[in-house]
Amino acid sequence: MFKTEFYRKALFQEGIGLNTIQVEEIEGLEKKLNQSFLRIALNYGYVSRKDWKSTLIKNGIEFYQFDYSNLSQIPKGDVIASNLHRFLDLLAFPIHQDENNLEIVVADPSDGININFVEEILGQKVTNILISEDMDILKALHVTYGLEYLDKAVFHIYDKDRDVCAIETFTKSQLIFIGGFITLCLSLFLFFPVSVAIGLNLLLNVLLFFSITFKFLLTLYGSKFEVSKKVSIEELESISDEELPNYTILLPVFKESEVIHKLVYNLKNLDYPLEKLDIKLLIESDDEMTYNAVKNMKFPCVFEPLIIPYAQPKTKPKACNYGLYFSKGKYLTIYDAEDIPDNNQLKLVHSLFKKIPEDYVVIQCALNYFNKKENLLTRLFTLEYSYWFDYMLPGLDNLDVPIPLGGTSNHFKFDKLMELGGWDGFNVTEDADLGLRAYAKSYKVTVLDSTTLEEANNDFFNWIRQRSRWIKGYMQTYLVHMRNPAKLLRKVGIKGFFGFQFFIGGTFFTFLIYPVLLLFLLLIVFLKSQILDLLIFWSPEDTSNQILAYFNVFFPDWLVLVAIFNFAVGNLIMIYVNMIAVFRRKAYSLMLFALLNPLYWLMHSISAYKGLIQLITKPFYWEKTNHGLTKSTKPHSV
Amino acid sequence: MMVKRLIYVLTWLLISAIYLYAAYWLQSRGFFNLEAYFLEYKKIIFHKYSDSLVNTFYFTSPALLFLSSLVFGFTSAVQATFVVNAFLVGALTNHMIHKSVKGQTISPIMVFYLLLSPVIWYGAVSGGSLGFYLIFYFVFFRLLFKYTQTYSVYHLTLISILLGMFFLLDPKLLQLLLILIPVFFFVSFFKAKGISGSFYSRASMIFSNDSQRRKFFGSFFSSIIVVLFIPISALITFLLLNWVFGGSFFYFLFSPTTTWTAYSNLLPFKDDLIYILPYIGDVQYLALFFLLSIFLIYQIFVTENMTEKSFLLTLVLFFAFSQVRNDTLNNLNLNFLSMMTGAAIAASGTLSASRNKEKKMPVPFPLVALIFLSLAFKLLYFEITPVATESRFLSTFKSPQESALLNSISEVKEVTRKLPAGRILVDDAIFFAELTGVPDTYDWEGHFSPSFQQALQHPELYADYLIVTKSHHRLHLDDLVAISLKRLETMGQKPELRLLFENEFLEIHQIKPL
Repeated sequence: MFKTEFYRKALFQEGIGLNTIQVEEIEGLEKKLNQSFLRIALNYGYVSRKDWKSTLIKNGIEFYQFDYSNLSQIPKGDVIASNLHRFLDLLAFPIHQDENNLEIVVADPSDGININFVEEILGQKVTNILISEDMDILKALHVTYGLEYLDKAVFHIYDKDRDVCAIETFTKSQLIFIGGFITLCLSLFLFFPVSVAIGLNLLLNVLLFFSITFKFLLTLYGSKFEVSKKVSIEELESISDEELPNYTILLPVFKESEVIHKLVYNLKNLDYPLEKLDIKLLIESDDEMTYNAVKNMKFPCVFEPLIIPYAQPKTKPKACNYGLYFSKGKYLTIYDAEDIPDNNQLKLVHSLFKKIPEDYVVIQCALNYFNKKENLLTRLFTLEYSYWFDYMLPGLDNLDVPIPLGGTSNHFKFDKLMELGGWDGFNVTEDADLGLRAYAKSYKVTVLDSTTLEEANNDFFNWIRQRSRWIKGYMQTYLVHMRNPAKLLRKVGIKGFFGFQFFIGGTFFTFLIYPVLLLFLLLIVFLKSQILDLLIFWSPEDTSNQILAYFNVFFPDWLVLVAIFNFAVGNLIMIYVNMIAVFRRKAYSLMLFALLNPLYWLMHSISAYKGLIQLITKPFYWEKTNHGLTKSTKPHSV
Repeated sequence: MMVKRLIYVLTWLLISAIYLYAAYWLQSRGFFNLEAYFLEYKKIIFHKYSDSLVNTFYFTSPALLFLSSLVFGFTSAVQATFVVNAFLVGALTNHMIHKSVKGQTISPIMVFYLLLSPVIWYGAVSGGSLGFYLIFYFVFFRLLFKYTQTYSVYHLTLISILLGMFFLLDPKLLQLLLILIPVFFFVSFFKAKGISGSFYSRASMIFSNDSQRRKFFGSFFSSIIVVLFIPISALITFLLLNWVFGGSFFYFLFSPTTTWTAYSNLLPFKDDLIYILPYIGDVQYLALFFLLSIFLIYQIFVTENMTEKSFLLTLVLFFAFSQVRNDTLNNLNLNFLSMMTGAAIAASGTLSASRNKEKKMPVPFPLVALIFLSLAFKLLYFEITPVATESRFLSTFKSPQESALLNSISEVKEVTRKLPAGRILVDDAIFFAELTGVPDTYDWEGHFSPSFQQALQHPELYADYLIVTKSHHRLHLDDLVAISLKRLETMGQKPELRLLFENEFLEIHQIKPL
């Protein structure tokens, strides 16, 4: 036991400087939320971890240092594992236990009730108490006793329905189909080279045309509903704090120490009762950078750190899945660390969920960027996101076809999310996949005109990494759901099926095919312009026309015409949809940057090929996107 | 819902069938339209030569009518363009009838007007482009009225798509941007956030505040870009295709086979130049303009608390007037003047947002009187119009007409049927109408034939027959075959010809082979 007694008043009031009202508030929350005093103080904006640590040091307390590599479960480990949530609330870690001794590590030496609870749960008297930082105790609890949840986080989808898990990239039948198709094309090419070349070229052009036209029509359809507000101001104002349910916010981070401070600021701005927010900062156990940043925070935070035990694949969905098992909200959403959601977004979601039928289980909010004018890349990224979230997704929503969810700001009904099994930890665009799985289960997804501002990627290579992951994820999702096309058709219906083909399949297909058609077109224009003859001025031959004549065999005039038309119209359409999207957001200065969209598409193509290679070589590898690179500090209001 | 849709489609088909029958009846009484013949001819040569697919497809004006006629060419009883027009105008009439029956926005008197209006009937049965023009102007102004109510990007985008699509009907439609500019100016003015009050207080707030001024001009110029982008893209794509397949970005301007009026002498007016002359003067054309604009003028005063509607219609009136003033003869036809009809129809169905849509529109006596007056004026227009096809429309309605051109077409048809099939050397930019009657077994050397130039040098090697204009024909000096024959004669290389047939326009010769 302690050699000296510690009193709450001495530590929290005299040491840290909390006033009586604050202490009363914390005690009130303690009872209401059934969590320990220190946990409330640290996670609900009363005490900073740095201050807490200093106070303990000033009181002569030495901290116990865990050796995580040698941590093991005590004999009554199964009791702790089954009461893990309680131990996390108590911030107590039993480090040693035998018949006569029970040694525990706690974070708050002034909280005797916690120790009583531990004794009660384990049925044994505590013989020795050590003190450590709350983060260390949490980490110790998670890495030692969270393995069952970890296993579920990784393999739950696989165990539940392995047909929808991306653990297997290509199924045997898919490999046979792809191999068969290539063999057939090559064989036919040997016998009918011209017909096969024309046929393939035409097929690619037609698919590109349909894919782009589909996107354009979606955009147009989405824009039709831009003036309608799903939740009126009156409806929003009529919501009382009492009726608001608990709301979980998951914040998966990895090596993002720079944005933690901004995160706290943004979360504090949310217009939602703090005691009803269950905010979980998901930190990987080997992410020392973020871990230490949270430990050393100089000001009070409003989230609860949750340490994810190490396991492969190290992906965001796995982290979120793990977080699910510790969530307490009726609704759940995910934000990235740098996100700035509209401050009334949670209330809007609650209000909308109340209005729409029960089968709606997810609401996707719009995403946009606060650093849109930082450089060319962020401008182009903003153009893309504006049309994607303001027009494309509302278009899908109104057409009632599956909506691939965005990475963040998707708000779930928690029970339905659990029913769906959470995210697929092996899919690198787990959000898009989840949207489809929800639809396949006859649940619905809708969009809401509330925006979350994110940090646009401002670095070319970082962008390529991020985009290659997204496109790889789309390929994964496509392959997973196309394992049995007939089954997919049955589940999502004909509209959903074609929506899936064009929106998911069409997206990566267009990026892959784009440079091929561009090269083809440039070659034709180059030859038609006779520049080649000027370059080889010493030759009397009409080389350009000779090559063109040879080309004409494989690519007759009408096909060239189709290709030119397709390519020109396709590019112009994509430029246009980008333009009108930022026009709607009144970001007029970005409109002309839409003209650079063909260049942006080339960047997509680079990412698509990188993603394709990775799909084959390392399908679950999570290309990390670095955040916090922006120099823009003041978010522009949109 | 399904039943309603079915009824909608059935009534559309019924109305279209009535229009189609009327077109057939008119044709049987001697009505014809050279534009329809031209597009029919283009359809025939669509697959005739290796290069013609591309050239025909993209360089036929009006391309939109041509493309539609490819789809609607399922009957040989009437030309495809007549079918297209019947369906298009049928759709417009049907839409208005249904709106009226539902009690939404359209007054029954408007339906009455639509059913009786000679302009609408002409659009439906004339086989030219008027049906498209009417639809275009109706949709364009309908969208514009909507935009002034909602300020939504959706309506702006639709306007842009419409302009981009109908660029293929008439590139001059892009001039409508002149109407849009003031609209965008005022929309940007009134949608400025955080500003309210009178016009002057708004103006002073916008122009005295840097941020507001920037937003205002940003919104104004961006609106123009949004609307212009698709038409300009269509233009660029079109020019690119011209360059790739015609060798010049402006191939379509110089190609003699793009439009049926390619040769300057072949104006679509009545032959008598003296008859046309007064219209080129300052005052007379006003009569024609006025005859068609009266319904629009009335709509300007039926504001329904929508000042923007009156403002827009006034703009239309001024725009049309300035255009007609600017290029009197070319714009003094129904295709152009239909802008006023389309805008007026669109305006008549536009209500203010606050108005109860279930409430039937009252039918004031002045409106009824004006409808009848307007119909009478439109009939008068057809009496005095200088445009030959328009004039022929009314006269054919009154009594069967004889036409030298129709006779010529049927004579060529008869002659070529009797002759053994072969290859004809002909300037098809002049004789496209006659060639539509030539049996399928024939081929010809014309502008789309890759060996047309060689055939003009050595007719005996490339053709069995030739068709050439008579020396007194207006287009004799444009007739490439006639010019070529003269040149060959001068050089002493004219092939030996045997006259097979002649009428007041043309001669058909057999070329003696080498």
